[in-house]
Amino acid sequence: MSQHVTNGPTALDAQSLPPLSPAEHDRLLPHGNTLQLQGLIDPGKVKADFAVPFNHRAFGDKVLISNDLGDHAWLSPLELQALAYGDVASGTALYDRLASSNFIAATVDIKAQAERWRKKKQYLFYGPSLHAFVLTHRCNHGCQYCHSSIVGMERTDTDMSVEVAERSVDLAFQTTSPGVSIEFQGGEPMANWEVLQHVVEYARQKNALAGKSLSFSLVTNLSLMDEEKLDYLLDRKVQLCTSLDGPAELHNKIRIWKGGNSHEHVIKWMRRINQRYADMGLDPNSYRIEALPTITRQALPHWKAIVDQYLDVGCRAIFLRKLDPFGFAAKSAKTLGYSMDEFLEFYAHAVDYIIELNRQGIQVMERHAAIMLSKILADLEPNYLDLRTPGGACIGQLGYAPDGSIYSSDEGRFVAAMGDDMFKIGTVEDTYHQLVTNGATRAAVMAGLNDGQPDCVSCVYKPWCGQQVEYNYKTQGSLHGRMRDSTWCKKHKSIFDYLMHKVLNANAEDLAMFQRWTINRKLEHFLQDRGTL
Amino acid sequence: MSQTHIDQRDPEKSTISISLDVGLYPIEVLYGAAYIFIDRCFVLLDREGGEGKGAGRFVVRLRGKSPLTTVQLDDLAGEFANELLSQALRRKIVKQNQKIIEEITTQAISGAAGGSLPTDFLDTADDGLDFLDDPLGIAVPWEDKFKKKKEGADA
Repeated sequence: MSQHVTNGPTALDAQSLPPLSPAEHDRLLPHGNTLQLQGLIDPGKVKADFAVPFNHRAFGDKVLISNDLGDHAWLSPLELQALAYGDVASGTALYDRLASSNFIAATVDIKAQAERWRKKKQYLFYGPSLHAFVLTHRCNHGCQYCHSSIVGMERTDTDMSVEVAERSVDLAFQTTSPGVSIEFQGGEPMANWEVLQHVVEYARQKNALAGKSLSFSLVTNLSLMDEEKLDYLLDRKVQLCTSLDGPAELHNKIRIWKGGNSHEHVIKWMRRINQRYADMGLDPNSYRIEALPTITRQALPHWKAIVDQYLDVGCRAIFLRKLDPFGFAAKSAKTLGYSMDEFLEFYAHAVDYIIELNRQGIQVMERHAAIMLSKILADLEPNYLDLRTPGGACIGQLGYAPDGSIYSSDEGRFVAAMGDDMFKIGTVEDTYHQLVTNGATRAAVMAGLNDGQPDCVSCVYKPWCGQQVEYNYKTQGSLHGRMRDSTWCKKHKSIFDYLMHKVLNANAEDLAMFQRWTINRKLEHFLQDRGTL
Repeated sequence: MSQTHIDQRDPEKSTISISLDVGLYPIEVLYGAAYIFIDRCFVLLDREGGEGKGAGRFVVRLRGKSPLTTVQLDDLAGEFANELLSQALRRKIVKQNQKIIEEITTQAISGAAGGSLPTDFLDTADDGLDFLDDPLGIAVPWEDKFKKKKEGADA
């Protein structure tokens, strides 16, 4: 285990942390507030055409403003008043600052900004690029939070057939997106190894003509990995991703595997795969097996041990993923679940620790933070499907089930696994055109737009945030949900608040660290060669 | 009586009744909110009192599909009232931002479809956005329909 453990609980026998007082909670998770405009802005004096439309949020004596282009600025209340009244003289520092971030209407270069908007919203000009293939519902693990409808390993009848697989690949290649990313999921997708290989070969063959930017990724628990399979996956440049919930005691408590010690096995193969990447001459800073933890109630006190475990196995990025409301996670919410406040406290503890590690020279980042900061500080659109508007359902991704059903997304098929086909948009017998133009797709797009959503339309985080219609439906009963009491909104707004507070108070070194987190390292190795076999 | 009011709660029958001023929310908003609850409750919509358009009160009876305590019933009523408000506000925002919503939706779908949308796509999209309109008069309370016919007949 790494030696950089400096604070927080050190042993897994600490099963719970004392609840934080409201003041402690606020110190850990500083939040913004609705700005009190009364007494500050006289509606009669507002010069409506001076500034472009903007939203605002108060952070102590500073006000954060943002516009739909994705620019932001920090103002004092009086500077905000001046902007609202159109009382900012040309040539002043404030004018220059506001003009350079596109808040003064007369100075906005419409053509340049339209091009910038188009570049960031390029996902509106293409069809789905992520194609999640559920190769089987079989799995040899019994993870307590699994969101899939898993069955025992003997149930080969739940495997995707070669025919369905080929038809799914055919559909995926009809996307108008220049990129096709096929993600193998399950169950445990390696249980249907022959079809996995067939999809890889068949897609590569198709791409010899299509010339798409083709990539494969495999989400696996690694339990069925062996050297021969690894040789194949590395040879075919299949990116690997696994689940690692933290140290052994925590991981094995939730990720139950009758076949052995799941944690030991995962760690062994993670190290082996990373070594193989290094042996291939790939930069170890960029090429590592990806891993994701799912945060359960049992994990909450162990933020530091989880981060340390990830560092210890060579990861430099960690995605602190909240338990979702689908599948077993919904059924076992009483034993595994927690409040959003509890998750956010966990998150802040962990990211505070990650920041501290960076200050000590250990480079590691949290993915939510990196995605959000990429949008805010680097003006990038990472196309993270859960944080874009409209969301990724149907037009950013499609989920392909073994029986040939096609869903709006991975989450759409999780809802189906709970007995509700709300997000089934068709089958492999349909044409691609039918799938992306049907009423369900249109409804998902419209509902997933921030521009039609109360709260979102007036939120300072609107240009960088998004919704997931499947989450809205599952938690609040409609595609639109209600953001005011949505845990989705609470989670993202709180993390945005936390990060913006950090940015506002960052010194030069911390700001450089946050900028570093926004660098998107393109993993070119995992792209298949275009137009060749 | 207040504009939105809990009329009755019956924990033994897991039922709560809410009434609201007919003029407070468009009936489409009432339908939208009621629909959200049908997985948890049996929902009965009714109207009582008043004569003519805009008069009287809508009555919403929610009966839990599983037993509910008094507190849970009150929460249910509160959540229903919140949903009504949320639907009403969203309806207004969608109207205000209709143009941008149409533009982005059309671009997103045509981008995915390769620019060749079904010939009726735009018409259908318009229908979708104007779902709050009621050209066939389906949402018009029968009293109003009946009254109009009767007035017509009288004339």
